[in-house]
Amino acid sequence: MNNILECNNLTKVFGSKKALNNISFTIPRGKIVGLLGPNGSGKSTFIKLCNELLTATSGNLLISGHKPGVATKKIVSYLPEKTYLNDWMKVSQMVEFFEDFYDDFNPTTAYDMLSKLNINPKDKLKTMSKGTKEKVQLILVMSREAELYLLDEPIGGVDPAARDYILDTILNNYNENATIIISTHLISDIEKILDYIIFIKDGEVVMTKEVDEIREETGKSIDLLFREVFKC
Amino acid sequence: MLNKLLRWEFKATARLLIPLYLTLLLFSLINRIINPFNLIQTSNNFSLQIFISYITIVAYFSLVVGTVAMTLVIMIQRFYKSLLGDEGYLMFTLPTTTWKHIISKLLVAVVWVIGSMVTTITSIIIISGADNIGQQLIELINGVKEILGVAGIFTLPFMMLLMITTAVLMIYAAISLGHMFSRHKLIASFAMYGVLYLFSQILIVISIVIFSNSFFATLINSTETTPDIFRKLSIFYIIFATLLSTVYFTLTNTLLTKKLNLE
Repeated sequence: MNNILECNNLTKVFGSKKALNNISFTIPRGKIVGLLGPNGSGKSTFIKLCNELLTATSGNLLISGHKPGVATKKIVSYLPEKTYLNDWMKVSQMVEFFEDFYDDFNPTTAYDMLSKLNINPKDKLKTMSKGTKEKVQLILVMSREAELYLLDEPIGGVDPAARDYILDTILNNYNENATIIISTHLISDIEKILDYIIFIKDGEVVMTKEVDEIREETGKSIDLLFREVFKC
Repeated sequence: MLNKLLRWEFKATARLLIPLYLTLLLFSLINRIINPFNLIQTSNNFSLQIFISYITIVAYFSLVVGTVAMTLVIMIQRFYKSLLGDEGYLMFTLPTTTWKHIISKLLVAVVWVIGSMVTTITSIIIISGADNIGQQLIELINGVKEILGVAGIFTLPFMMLLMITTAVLMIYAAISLGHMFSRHKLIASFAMYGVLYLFSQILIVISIVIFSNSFFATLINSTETTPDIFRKLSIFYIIFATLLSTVYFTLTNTLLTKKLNLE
C-alpha cells in the first residue's frame, strides 16, 4: 500500500451544481501536497469527503485502502477552515480531549508548541482572538502522529509573521512517512515546502505534478504557473 | 468510545445545570426558612416584609420555570451546536460512528430531564415542609399498586422513561430535518418539529382506528379490572413509543451520516 490516498471518478453534486466532477488521482506517502485552486473550485469539498463530513454522489475514495470511516479517522488529522473548538473549555481541557479520543496524540508536543507561541494552557478559549484559536487548533492537529494531515487553508486567517511559524510547525512535526495535503490559494507563501501539486478548477483536476518536474520542464514557479492556468 | 463521548457530554452540560439545580434547591431552603406563604396568610397589613415575601415567591416560581426551560434549551443547543454547528467539524471527525454521538447526547439529555424533574419535586417538598416524606412515598406507591397492580409500579417509570426518550429523539429528528434546508435552519427545525408532532398524532389516530374494533373495544366493554386494562394499554404504548423512537433515531442517524453538510 504505497498510496495514502486514491480517488476514482469521484463526483459530488449539490442540488444542480457539480462541486467535484469525476476526479481521479493518487497521492503517494511521504509527500507534502498542495491542493491548489481558486475560491469555490472544490478544494474544501474534496477534503470534507476525505473526512466523511460529506458523502460522495458517485465514485470512490480510499485512504490507506479504507473508505472514509472510523478506520480512516484514526489516521487522518484534519484542520478545517472553521474554528471548531469548544468555547467553554480551557486549552488544557482541549488537549485532554484530543488525548482522550486520539491514540496518536502527543500532549508533550502540544504543550511545547503552546509555550513557544506564548499561549497559556489555563486560558479559556472563549477569551481568545480568532487568530490565537487558529493557532491552538493547528497545534492540536499537528501534535498527532497521523499518517495523513488534511489542512484546509491553514494560513488563511493568520498574519504573515505567524505564517512562517505555522509552516515551520507543519514541517517540524511530521514524520517522513506521513503525507500532508494543504489546500490554499495563497501559493507563494507555501510554495517552498511543496513536493507535489494538484491544480483544481471548477470541480475538475487540471494538473497533478511533482514540483521538481515543473521546475525542470518549464522553469516556472508554481505561483506563476498557477496564474497562467487559472487566468481569468 | 461511547463512554468517552458520554463523559465529555456530561462535563459540557453539568457545568451549567448542576449550579442551576443547586440554586433552585438552595432557594427552596431559604423560602422554607422565611416561609413567605405563611407570612402573607397571617399578616393583615401590608409591610416591606410582605412585599419581600411576594418577591421571593415570584422568584421561586421563575426559578422552577427557568430550570425546566434551561434543561430543554441546553438539550437542544448541545445537539444543534455541537453536532451541526462549527463544533461538528471536531465531533464528526473523531474516530467514532454517528449513532454513538446521538446515543451519548440522548442518554445525557434523558438524565438531565429526570434530574430537573427530581430537583423540582424535591424543591416543592422542601418548600411545603411536608413531614414523613418516606411514609408518604410508601403511601403513594401503595396507591399506585392498588389502582394499576404490582406490574404498574414497574411499568409506569419505564413508560415515563420511554416517553422522555421519544420526546428527545423527536427533537433531534426535527433539528436534523431542519438542517437539510439551505437557509433559516433554526426556523425550519421548529417547523419540522411541528410536522413530526402532527405525524405522531396521525399515527396514534390511525392505530386507534385500526384497533378500535378489536383491542380498544374489549377494553371499554369488558369487565376487566383496572390493572388488566392498564397492562394492556401500557403494552400498546410501549410498542408504539418504541416504534416511534426507532423511526426518529434511524431518521436522525441516516440524515447525519448520509446527508451531513456542515456550513
